[in-house]
Amino acid sequence: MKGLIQKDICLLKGRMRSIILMVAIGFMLAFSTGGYFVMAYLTMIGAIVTVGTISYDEFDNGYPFLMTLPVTRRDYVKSKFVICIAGGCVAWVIAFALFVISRLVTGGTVLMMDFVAVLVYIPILVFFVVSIMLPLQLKYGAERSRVAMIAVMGGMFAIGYFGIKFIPGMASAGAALAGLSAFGIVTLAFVIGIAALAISYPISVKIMENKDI
Amino acid sequence: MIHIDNVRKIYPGFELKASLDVPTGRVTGLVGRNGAGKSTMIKSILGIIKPDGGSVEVLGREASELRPEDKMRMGVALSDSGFSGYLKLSDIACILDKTYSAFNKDRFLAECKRRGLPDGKLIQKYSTGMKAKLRVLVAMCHDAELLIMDEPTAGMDIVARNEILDIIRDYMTDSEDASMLITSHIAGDLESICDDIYLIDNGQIILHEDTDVILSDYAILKLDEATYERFDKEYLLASHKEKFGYRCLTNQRQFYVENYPDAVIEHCGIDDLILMMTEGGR
Repeated sequence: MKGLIQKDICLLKGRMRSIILMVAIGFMLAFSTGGYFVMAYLTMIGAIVTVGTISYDEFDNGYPFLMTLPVTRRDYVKSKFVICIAGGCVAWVIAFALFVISRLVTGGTVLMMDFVAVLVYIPILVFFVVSIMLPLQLKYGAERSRVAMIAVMGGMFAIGYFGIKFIPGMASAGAALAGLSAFGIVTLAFVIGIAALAISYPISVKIMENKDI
Repeated sequence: MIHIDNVRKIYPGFELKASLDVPTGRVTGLVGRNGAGKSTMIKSILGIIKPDGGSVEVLGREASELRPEDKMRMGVALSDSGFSGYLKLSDIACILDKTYSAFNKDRFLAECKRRGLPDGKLIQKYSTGMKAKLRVLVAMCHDAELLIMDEPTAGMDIVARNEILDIIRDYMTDSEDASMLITSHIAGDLESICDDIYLIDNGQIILHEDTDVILSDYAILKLDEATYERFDKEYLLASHKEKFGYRCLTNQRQFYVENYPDAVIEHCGIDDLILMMTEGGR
């Protein structure tokens, strides 16, 4: 599996110019918006760029050869989860640094509780996004997974919207969520993020094991 | 090393049903026209596709259950699949270094340099011949006991083909116990390196013979119609009607040389064999 991770690192190294460009945009955003947006933006970009390494493997029919290396399909999926979460985390550290620098330069104030909440639930959001994107990309490939991702997001929104409207008790559950403390929200987000990973990983392994490559 | 017993794989309009053996220390060729089933066989051996029946054993284990430790003993070059074109040679060396315990990075890079593969250039910018050379060198970089080469010379000119065949020949000379299964639709390439040849057509093995036997005992007979009518056809494997009469394949060259001294009897190469034994010659 180390070899697969090394391959993804090399592929990302090859995209260094576009990664630097994205960080530069993040740098500008940190000063212009001055808020938490840069942290969410860069962290998500980190996760999305690393998930994109799957399309390099698909390109030119790379899967059959990769599966002749001393790895299993499970190892392949594991390596993708590792690199995507690591990518999101590295991006998050960079984003956090940019955020702190921008605050120090502009002298803006930060509400401690909001700050801690953003600091924690953005990486959890990465877990959540990776959990959805990875199995979709493995199942449908780079192009079709974008459509599938929009469909999944739309579906989740529809469930939330119509659930609150038509399912008794859901609206009150929503209200209870809104009433949670910052600590409560972070804990809940953490549980949902970890649960999403725990569900997504075996599904991704199953998809990969049944994939016709 | 490889034991395939009546493997079956069904696709719409195509069925593979074949058996094949690659013993230790042997170089076995699998030849056939495009679409004959060579790549399907290779994918079954590598556990990339699941057969619908029969069994495929590789290194004593069912192909679908090959473990990373088993794959460590195998070197594979596929014609249509390899490392991403967005990598460079040094990247590939780093990846292989982290993948194979027996990999020697310096030796690999030196060998690539000797064979004219430039570093610092994306693989996608390599020529067809360079990419093929790289695939073969990658397969051989970790002292594999079993090499599987799927069309290593496909789409190359004669010079590049010879270079690839030289690399393969050198490896097999240096590693006496290594075994290899190599496929090609350019059968002439295999005459000089294979101990035995399987001929596949429409998903079925239609001939298995030692290369030496093919080259010494098989022959092409060219006969006019009158000669053909009175000819002893017992040892003819295939006959095709031509403008001049009949073109026949035999595996008993000596019999016809002795009994029909006037007949035109030519040596048979593996390409002739494919042409005569498959639908392409009819």
